Amino acid sequence: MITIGNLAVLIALIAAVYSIGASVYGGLNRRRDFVASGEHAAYTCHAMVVIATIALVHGLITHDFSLKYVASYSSSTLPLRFRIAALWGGMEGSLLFWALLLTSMTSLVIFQNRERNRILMPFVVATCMTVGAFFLSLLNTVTPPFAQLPFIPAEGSDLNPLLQNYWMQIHPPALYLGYVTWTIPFGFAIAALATGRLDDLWIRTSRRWSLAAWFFLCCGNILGARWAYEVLGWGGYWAWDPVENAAFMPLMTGTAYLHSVMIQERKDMLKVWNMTLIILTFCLTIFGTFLTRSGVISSVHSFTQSGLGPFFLAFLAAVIVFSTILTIRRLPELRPKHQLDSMLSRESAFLFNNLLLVGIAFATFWGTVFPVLSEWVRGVKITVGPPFFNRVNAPLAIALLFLMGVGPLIAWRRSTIDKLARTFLAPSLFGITAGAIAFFAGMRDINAVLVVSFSAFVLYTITLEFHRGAAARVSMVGQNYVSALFTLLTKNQRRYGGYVVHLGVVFIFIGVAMSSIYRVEEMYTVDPGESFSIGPYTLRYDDAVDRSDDHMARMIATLTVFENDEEIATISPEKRFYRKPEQPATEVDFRTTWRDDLYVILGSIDPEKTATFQAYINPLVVWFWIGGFVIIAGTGICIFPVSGARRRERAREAATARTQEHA
Amino acid sequence: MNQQLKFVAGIAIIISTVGFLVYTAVDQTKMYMVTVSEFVTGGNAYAGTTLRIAGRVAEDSMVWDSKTNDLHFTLDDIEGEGTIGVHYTGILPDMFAEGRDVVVEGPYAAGDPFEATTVLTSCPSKYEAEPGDDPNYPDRAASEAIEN
Repeated sequence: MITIGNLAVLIALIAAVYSIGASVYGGLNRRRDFVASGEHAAYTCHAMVVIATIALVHGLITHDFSLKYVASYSSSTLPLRFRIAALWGGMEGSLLFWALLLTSMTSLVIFQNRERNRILMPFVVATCMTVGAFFLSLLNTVTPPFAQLPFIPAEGSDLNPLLQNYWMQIHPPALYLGYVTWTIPFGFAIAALATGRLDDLWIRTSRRWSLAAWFFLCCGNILGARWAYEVLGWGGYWAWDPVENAAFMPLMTGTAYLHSVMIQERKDMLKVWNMTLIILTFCLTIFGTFLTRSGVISSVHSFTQSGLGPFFLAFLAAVIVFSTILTIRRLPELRPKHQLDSMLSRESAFLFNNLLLVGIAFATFWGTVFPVLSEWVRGVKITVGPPFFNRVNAPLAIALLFLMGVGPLIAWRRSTIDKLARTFLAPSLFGITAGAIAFFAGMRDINAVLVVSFSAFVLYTITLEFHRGAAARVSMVGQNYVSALFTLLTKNQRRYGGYVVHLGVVFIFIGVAMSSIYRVEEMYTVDPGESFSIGPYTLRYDDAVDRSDDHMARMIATLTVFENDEEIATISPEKRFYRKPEQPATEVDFRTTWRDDLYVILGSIDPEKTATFQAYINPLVVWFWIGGFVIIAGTGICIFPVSGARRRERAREAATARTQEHA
Repeated sequence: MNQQLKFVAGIAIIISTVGFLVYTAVDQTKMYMVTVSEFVTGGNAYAGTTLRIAGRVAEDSMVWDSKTNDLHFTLDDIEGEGTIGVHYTGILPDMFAEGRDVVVEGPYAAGDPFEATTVLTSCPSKYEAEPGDDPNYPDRAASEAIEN
């Protein structure tokens, strides 16, 4: 299997390089045979990567400790599901997994466009294969996944305990898919630049891919947050860690891109901006990989670096230089044919939303690389922590929340003060009332009050949009109200799916604002039988039991939770000690309600069972997760393919809608 | 006013707001990252700032009181000279142990021990060969910051 694996990785690289050459040559000279050959090579590359992946997973499953990777990231007592997940538990495996996802996406896009976009496709393939070739060359040189140890160890050093859980199995694949899928829209952008087909064809063709990429990236971020909440166990879900930021930045620029392409589709404007956004988003996905893989930022002291950093930076620089040159060459053709008509228009709401999103991405980038920058420029290493990110991003995000309410209701092209006053009177009053109620109910934090007020404003506008759409159907088609609401979602997926996503974003705002601003934290050291209280809860520490096995030693504490002298729940946080990496780990436990999460960490426990507990109350944090689900559902509505008949009908409706709006 | 000019003004306002926010936030939240030896030789050059000091927990220096959650230890410079005492109150980070590389965070104060508000631990030595190896093993994760 090892020989097969090594060979497969090598052939995959050769196929990728050949595919780039054949595709570019065929694309430039309109040679169908070369284009086809390039596509076949891409399929071959995919097949080879699949074989290599199977070979590595086989090694992990069968405990082939002669493989360095298997010995480093698994052990004989590691359960099967974690042995498979160990594929993305370490450097070599995750790069291989990355290549697997990328080549799969490439095959999918080639198959999807086998009879379409014949002019663009060679360059899409070439772009994907260039990225693939980069990862495959790393796999062939610096990080060989099938490296063997000179001896066969009796036992592996096991997977990191923090990764031995359910979230670890699904979170990295989602995140990687998010990163990798952006390559496809980027490929179409490069193809548009290379061929000069600069109308909105590339955007329309890659629209579903962009949405899918956004979808996966969103899932990755949310699952990552969940992993942090349940496994890392420090009471929160987001800490502005470099690795989190790495996944967060492309999400912001990608969101900007999804909005601004709508202006290009409608108005034939902002072409350069859209090019910039997609290039930026792609670069940020590579930068994200660089951050997570190189450890350049996170290492605050002299860690041995993995040596991958320079390769990523060189590749990133090449991508930026190449795409910039391509864009500059096409600048005259990318000039807008129209101008923005009015400040009071949906276009301008979108434009400012774009600037805010890119602003958030920039601030996050700046804070993330600041230690490196300050060392270069001033010779001192200065770092910024979560307070920096919260301070900068909170006002920008709140402004964004406000625009989210404005966008859907304001007219395209141009609106007037009168019209705006009429449209926004009710939602504004609703928002102001909600803010006032929150204030008089005792909420004094300005950010919290603004979030409540703007969320109410946005909720009102979204409801209004759904109501208007449904009411129109009721009066025109005679449908009943509820089924009319459902029809909106299936007939005009993009628009109403988008509103559902907005709804989820509002929930996330509420969850984040309330759980971060009004969090309560307490620490107590108690003996069994003693109680302590936090907020409205009283916790009685009942006992601790020993549940050790071969894989780990465990101590589980049991606490009974009382509220108003009534027993409402038991909570059992635990402390583990993994035997292989000889490392302790903390398993938190928490109780979720609509109002708040009671989150308990077993900090330490001594042989006499005296234990230190750290407890948190995270108000309304459940809305963060609900928001995540709603966003995922909304994006699903946008992506889900509609049947041909529906699509034609939708196109007709869109056409009438357009003429109506222009009238 | 000309529409295009209004747009330019609007864009300029947003960009300068972002710039202003970033600038002031850096100014108010920055922490100096130093090694133990830099800290020791730096004297009171760091007065009035918040510091992150990187070092290695000295062998046989750790004193942990599980009743009061007080942690005392000595932090050595990882490569060079220099030693400081550190005191921290809070939950003992999972990966804290003698011989490990840690970062302590706290406001500058003259005298011993350094009062840390946060102790960040890095991966155990077995993972040290390939740090940051894992996308799911972020620096805080690897490190598990326990905030005070």
